[in-house]
Amino acid sequence: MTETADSTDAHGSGGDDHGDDHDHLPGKYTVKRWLVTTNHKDIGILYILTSLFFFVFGGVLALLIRMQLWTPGEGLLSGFAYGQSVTAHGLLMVFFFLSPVAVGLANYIVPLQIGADDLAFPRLNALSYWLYLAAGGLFAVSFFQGGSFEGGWTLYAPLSVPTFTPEVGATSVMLALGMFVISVTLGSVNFLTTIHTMKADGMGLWNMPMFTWTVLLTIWMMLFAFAALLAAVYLLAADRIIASQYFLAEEGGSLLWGHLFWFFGHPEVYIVFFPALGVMLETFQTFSGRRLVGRKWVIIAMVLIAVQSFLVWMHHMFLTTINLEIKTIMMATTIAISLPFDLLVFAMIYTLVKGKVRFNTPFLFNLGALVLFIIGGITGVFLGAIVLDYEFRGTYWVVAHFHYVMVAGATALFGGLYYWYPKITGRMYDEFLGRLHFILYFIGFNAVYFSQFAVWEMPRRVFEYSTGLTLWNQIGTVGGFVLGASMFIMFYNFAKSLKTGPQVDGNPWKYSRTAEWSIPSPPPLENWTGVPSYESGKLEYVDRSPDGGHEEAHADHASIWPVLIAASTFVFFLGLSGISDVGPTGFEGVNTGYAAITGLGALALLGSAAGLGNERFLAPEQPYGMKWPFDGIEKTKLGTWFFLYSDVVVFGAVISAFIFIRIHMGWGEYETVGPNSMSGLLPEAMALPGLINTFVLVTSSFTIILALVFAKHQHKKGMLASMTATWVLGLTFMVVKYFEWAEKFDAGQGPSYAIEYSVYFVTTGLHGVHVVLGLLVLAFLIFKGYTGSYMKDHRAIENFGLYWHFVDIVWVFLFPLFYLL
Amino acid sequence: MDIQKHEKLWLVAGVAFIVLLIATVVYGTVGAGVSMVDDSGGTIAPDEIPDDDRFGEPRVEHVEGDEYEVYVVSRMFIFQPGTVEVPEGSTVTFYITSADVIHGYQLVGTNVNTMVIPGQIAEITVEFDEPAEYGVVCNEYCGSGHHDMEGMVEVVPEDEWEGA
Repeated sequence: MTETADSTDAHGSGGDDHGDDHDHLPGKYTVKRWLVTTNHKDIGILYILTSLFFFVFGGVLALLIRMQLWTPGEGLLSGFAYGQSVTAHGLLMVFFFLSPVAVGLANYIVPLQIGADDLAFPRLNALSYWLYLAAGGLFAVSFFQGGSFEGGWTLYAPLSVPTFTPEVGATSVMLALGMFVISVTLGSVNFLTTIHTMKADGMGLWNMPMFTWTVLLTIWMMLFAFAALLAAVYLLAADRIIASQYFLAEEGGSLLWGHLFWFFGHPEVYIVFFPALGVMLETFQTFSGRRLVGRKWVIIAMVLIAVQSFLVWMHHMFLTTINLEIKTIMMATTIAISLPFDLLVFAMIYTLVKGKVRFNTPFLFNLGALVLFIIGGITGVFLGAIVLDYEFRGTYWVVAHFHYVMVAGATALFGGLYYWYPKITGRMYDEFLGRLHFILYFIGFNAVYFSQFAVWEMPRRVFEYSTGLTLWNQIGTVGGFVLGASMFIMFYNFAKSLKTGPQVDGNPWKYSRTAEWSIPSPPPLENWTGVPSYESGKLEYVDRSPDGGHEEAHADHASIWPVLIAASTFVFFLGLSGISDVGPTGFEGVNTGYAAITGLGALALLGSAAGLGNERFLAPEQPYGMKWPFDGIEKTKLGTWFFLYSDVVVFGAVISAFIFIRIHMGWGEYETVGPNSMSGLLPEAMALPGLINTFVLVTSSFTIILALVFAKHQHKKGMLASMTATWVLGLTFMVVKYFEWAEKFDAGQGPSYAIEYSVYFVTTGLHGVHVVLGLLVLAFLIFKGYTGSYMKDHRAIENFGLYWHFVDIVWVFLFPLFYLL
Repeated sequence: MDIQKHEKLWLVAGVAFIVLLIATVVYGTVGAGVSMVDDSGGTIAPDEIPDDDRFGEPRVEHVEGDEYEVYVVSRMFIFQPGTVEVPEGSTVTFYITSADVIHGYQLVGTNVNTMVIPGQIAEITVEFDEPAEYGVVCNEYCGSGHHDMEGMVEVVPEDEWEGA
C-alpha cells in the first residue's frame, strides 16, 4: 500500500549508497558508517549486536559457574574467581545484555511505530550507544586490574569498600556502572521527548502500539530509578576514591546502601521486564489475529505497576533489622503489585484463547515466556510474604525465581528478534531452525532453572552443598549447556538467512497492524515517503508539501563526536579507577600514572564536547502530531526538563543519605560542619561564607535571566556582559569554596576524618561538580555568543538558564542543611 | 459495559484465584505464628564487640527454665561460637552481630534465617523441640572464604547438655 521510496532497490538495502552527498552518511558496508551514524535504525542494530556479545560473555561465566557446581567443593575456580564470575555474570546480564537488547529494539521500532523520522536528539542517541559500549569495555578491563568485583551484583556494603575489597578492578566495575547510568539517562531523555512529542497526527497516548507503551513506561521508570543508582554508585565511588566513610561508618553503613541500591533495584527488574512484555503483547496480537482483550485495562495496569514499583523495595531487605511496621507495609505493597500483573496475564491468555493461534517461532518464544513468567511470578509472591521469606532468603529458591522471570523476559526479547528480523534485514529466517532453537531452549531452560527449585535449600553464591543435591546440580549443568548451545542455532540462523533467506516485502506477518509493517523491509533511511497520519482513523500517508518542498533541508544522519566523547569518557573513568590508594587507614596517596590518564581523558572530553556543541546538525523536525501533556513546549527545553527531573532524584538521594545518617546518629549529636573562617580571613568559624555563596549564586541566576532578555532583544553586548557576569559569579562561588575547604584540609579534617565530614564534602562536592560543569558550558556559550550565535535562536541560553537555576536552588537547600542546622 | 458471558466467567475465576492466593499468603504470615527479626535487637558498633559483656565472649547462656540466649559473632570467615549446643525442648533467642561485613546466619533447610549486619544486632527466637543437628551457613557473600563459612547448632537430649 505504500509507494516504494525511490532509493529502495530489489536488494531492499534501503539504498543510501548514493554516498556522501546524501546526508554525509557513508555506505552500509564501511566501518566509518557505523562509527558516525546517528540514525535510529543503525543504532538499534549496534545495540542489539553489542548486547548479544555481552550475552555470550555473561553466558560463558554462567557455564563456568555451572561447571564449578558439578560436584560440591572447589573445582576449576578458586573462591575469588568464583565470586568474580557470579558477580560479573549478574552485572553483565542485567545491565549489559537485557536492557540494551530491549533498547536496541526500541531504537529501531518505536520511531517506526509512532510515525517519527528518528529520535528527538539523534547525536545524543549515538552517544548513548557509545557510552554503553565504553562502559562494557571498562567492565572488561576490571578483570585485569587485580581482579573484578567479587561481592555479588548488589555490591553490598561494607564488603564493597576498600577496607574489604582493595582491588582497583572493583572501582572500575562501579565506574563502569556509572557510565552506563549516564548512557541510560541520556537515552531516557531522548526517548521521552520523542514519544511524547513526535507521534503522528491522530495518535494520542491511548492509541499507541503496545510495544511503544511498554517502552514509554520503561523509560519513565529508568529516568528516576537510574538516578538513584547513580547517587548510590557516586557515594560508593567516593568511599573508594577519596576515602569518605559513608558505607564503613556505623551510622551509614549497610542499611544505607541497601535502601539506596534497592530503591533503584526493584524498579530495575520491571525496567528489564517491560520491553519483553511489550514484545509479548505485540506478538500475541499478531499471531492470534486478535486485538488485545481489555487493552485499556492493560495500559492502566502497566501504569500502576510502573508507579508501584517504587514502593516495594524493602522486600529485598526483609531479613535486616528494619522495624516490623515498615516491613509489613512493604509486604502489603508487594502483594498489591502482583495484582496488576495478574490482570496482564489474564488479558494475554484470554486474547490467545479467543483468537486463532499460529505457532511461528516468535510466537513460540513469547508463549514460552508467558508460561515461564507465570511460574517465576508466583514463586515471587511467596518471597513477598515476610514469613515465607525467612525460609527462602539467600537460598536457591530466590535464584530460581529471578531466573525464571528475568530469563523469561530474555525469551520474549529473543522472540522479538525473530519477529522483527524480516523487517530489519528484508529477509526471512529459517522457520525450522527457529522452532528447533525453541525446543532445545525450552528444555535447557527448565532443566537448569527448575533444578534450582529442586535444590532450594542450597545457599546462594557458594559452591559447597550437601552431597544429596549433587544429581540435581548436574542436571542443571547439563541444562545450562543445552540452553547455551541452543543460542548458537539462532546466531547461525540469523547469519545464514542474511545471505540466503527468502526476501520479504513490507509485511510478512498476517494480522500485524502497527506502522512499521507498512513500509519496505528494510526501511529506507528517511523511513517514510509522505507524512504518516492517523487523523482519518487509520494509517495514511499525507503529503504536506503545499507550502513549498517536502522538507526544507535534509536531516543529518552522521556525526563523529559521539564516539569521540564516549572514548574520552572511557579514558577519564579508567584513570579515576586507580587514581588513589585508599586503605584501612584512609587516603594513602595518588597514583601518578592513573592521574595522568584521568587528565588526558578530561582534556579529550572537553575537546570532543566542544566539537559536539560547535557542530551544525539538523535533527528531524516533527511539527505535526499529538504532544499532550507537553503541548507547546519546545523540544530541547522539554529534554532539559526531563534531564533535570533525573538530576533532582540524584540530589534527592544524596541528601536523603545525609538525613538518614544524621537521624541514625541523633540529629542533635551531629556536628554542623559548614561554618568556617575561610582559611583565617574571618575571626572565627561562621556560616557567613555559605551565606555569601548563596547570595552569589542567586545573583548569578538573575544575571543569566538578564542574558536571555538581552538575547531576545538582540542586544549582543548586553547578552555577553550578563553571561560573563554569571560566569564571574560562578567562579567567585568556587573560589570561596576553595578557601572554605582549604581550611578544613589544613586541619586534617578531610572526607575520612569523620562521617559528618564525608557527608559535607561529598554532598557539596556533587553540587560543586555541577557548578564547574555549568561554568565550562557557559564559557563555551560565551565564545559562541561572541562569534554571533543566539541573536535569533536563544534556546541554548534559555536551557542553560534552566540548568543554572536548578543548581542554584539545590544550593539554597544545602546551605541551611550544612551551615545552619 | 457489555461483557460476554464467558468473559464474565473468566473474570470471576481469575479474581477467585487471586483471592485464594492472597489468603494463603496472609494465613502463612499471621496464622502460623512465626516471630520475625526486627529492630528490637539493638545496635553495637563493631569495635565495641571485644568489650561487650555479651559479644566479648560469644556463648550459650541459660536464662531460666526453658529459656536460653545465644550470643554469636560473625566475622570473615567463622561464626563464634562455631558450634552451638542447646538442650531439646528449649526456647532459644539468638543475638547475632557482625564484626566486619554483612554475613548471613541460616540453619539450613529451616526458616531460622537472618542477615547479620555490622552495627546491628539480629534477634531471633527459636523453639527446639526434638534433638537434631543443624548446619549453619553464611548465605550473604562476604569475601573469598565465604564458601567455607559454616557452623553447627546441636540440639541434644536434656541429659546430655553440659551447661553454659
